[in-house]
Amino acid sequence: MADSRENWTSRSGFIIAAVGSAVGLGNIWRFPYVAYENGGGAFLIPYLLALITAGLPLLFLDYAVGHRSTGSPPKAYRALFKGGETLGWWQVCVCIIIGLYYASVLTWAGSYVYFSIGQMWGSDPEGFFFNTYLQTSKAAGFDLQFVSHLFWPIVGIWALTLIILYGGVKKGVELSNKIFMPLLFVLFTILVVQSLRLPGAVQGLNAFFTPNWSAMMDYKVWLAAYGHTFFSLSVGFGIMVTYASYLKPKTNLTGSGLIVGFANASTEILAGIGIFAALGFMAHAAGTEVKDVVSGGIGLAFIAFPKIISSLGTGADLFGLLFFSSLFVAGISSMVSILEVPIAAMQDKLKWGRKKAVTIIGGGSALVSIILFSSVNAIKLVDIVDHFINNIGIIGGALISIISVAWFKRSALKELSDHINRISTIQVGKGWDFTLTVITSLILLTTLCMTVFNLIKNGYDTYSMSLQGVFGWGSVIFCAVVAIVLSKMKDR
Amino acid sequence: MNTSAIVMMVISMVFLWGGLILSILHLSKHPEELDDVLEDVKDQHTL
Repeated sequence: MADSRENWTSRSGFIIAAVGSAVGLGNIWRFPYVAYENGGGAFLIPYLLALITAGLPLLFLDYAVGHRSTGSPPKAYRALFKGGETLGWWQVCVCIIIGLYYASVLTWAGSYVYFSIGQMWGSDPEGFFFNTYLQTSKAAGFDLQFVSHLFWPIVGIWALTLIILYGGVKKGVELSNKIFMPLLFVLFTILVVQSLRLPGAVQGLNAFFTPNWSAMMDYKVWLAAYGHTFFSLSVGFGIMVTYASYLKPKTNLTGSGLIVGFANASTEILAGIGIFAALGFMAHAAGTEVKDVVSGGIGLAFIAFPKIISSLGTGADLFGLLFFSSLFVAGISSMVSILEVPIAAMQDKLKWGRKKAVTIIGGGSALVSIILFSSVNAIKLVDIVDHFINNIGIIGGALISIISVAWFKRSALKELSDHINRISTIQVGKGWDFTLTVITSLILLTTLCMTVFNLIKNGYDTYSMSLQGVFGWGSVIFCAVVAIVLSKMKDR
Repeated sequence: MNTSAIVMMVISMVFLWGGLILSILHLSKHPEELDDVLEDVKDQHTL
């Protein structure tokens, strides 16, 4: 017998969980690098405009879709337009795929909390990460060789995630976020303060904030700003739809959304300050410029930061613990939100109880993830799947969800705006309509076309076509096929 | 820090952190609907 649909304890419980989902690894390792590469201080102008004209409107749209139907994406989109259930299942599949590799990256962050004690990476963090720790395969194709020290930590990550999810919306997702978010705030604030006290920090802040105004004339900078805002807010792939479906009937959607949007962006600015202050120290210590040491993503976290930590002397252990613990805590709350989407969807579709849904969906995902990512292919698979699923899976799903209501079924958009305005203090109107119909739709369409064209023409990076075909395009095809099959199945 | 970097840092901090504070203040002035709270109490009694 299925449980009755759960709710958040309160509006603040929802807000803290939504912030926990939006604030993830990308805030810490992606934003500072994207900002620096796209004009530094000048990037902040398109970034702030993107937040107002795309990020917040999309967040409100996701909230309205989920809240109006009190359902996960398949149920919510089915109620909005014909064929909507297929789109909902596409978003569910995207979340399942992301969950598989996100667990792997979380494993690395968790392991580096331990490695940072005594700086176990020694004098060669790059060699340690790729060869000693990940034991990355040199083979061009797939090489399913087991790495024992990756196995137990990823089992631990999945166990923690599933325990939280077994707890349900109130006692699992909400409670864990009420612990993780204040903890992240404390850890990260101490980290930023420590970074700012390092010699060379000012040099780093200058590099980060000094505007390169000519960058604003480059359309790619604007696409980068909108693209980043979009990824950063966890919009367009079902998480916010699912979280909003657990809200009580008369919740102030726009008022809550503003807090989530601004809290997420505030964390990114804080991350930019902390990361660039540390990079400034690195450049200062090496006697070079910040541009010579700057990096983002996995390279920043697992190669550049260990180098910085090793240069710190007495404060190294503390700094390492703060940085990798922050990454881990930011990531685990996002991981929980990613898995909540398929679990809620199966509960809605098959009327499964929560425990059954977590065991089958969470347990099945855990099994696949553990097999694939405790092997010598871990980093290659993370990189390939992440690129394809982000740029086609998320962008494609979000684009279809927006144009379906903004271009093809305008009455649905009207219903959603009426729903928001009935219960929210900040009303949406023609401005919201315009940003969704014109700005966001066209930017996402342009980005998707450019990415697909580029991937077909040039492939991704230097990976073999077989790896890209099976794990990159394969992930996209998997989402499409499973979405179509599940949408044809009758509800129980 | 150079002047232009300081200006951009201040603008982004004021806009984002100020926006966060204002949105928290806005929501705190509009508490959750009483009937939802009553529904909760009713549910607890029913259970």
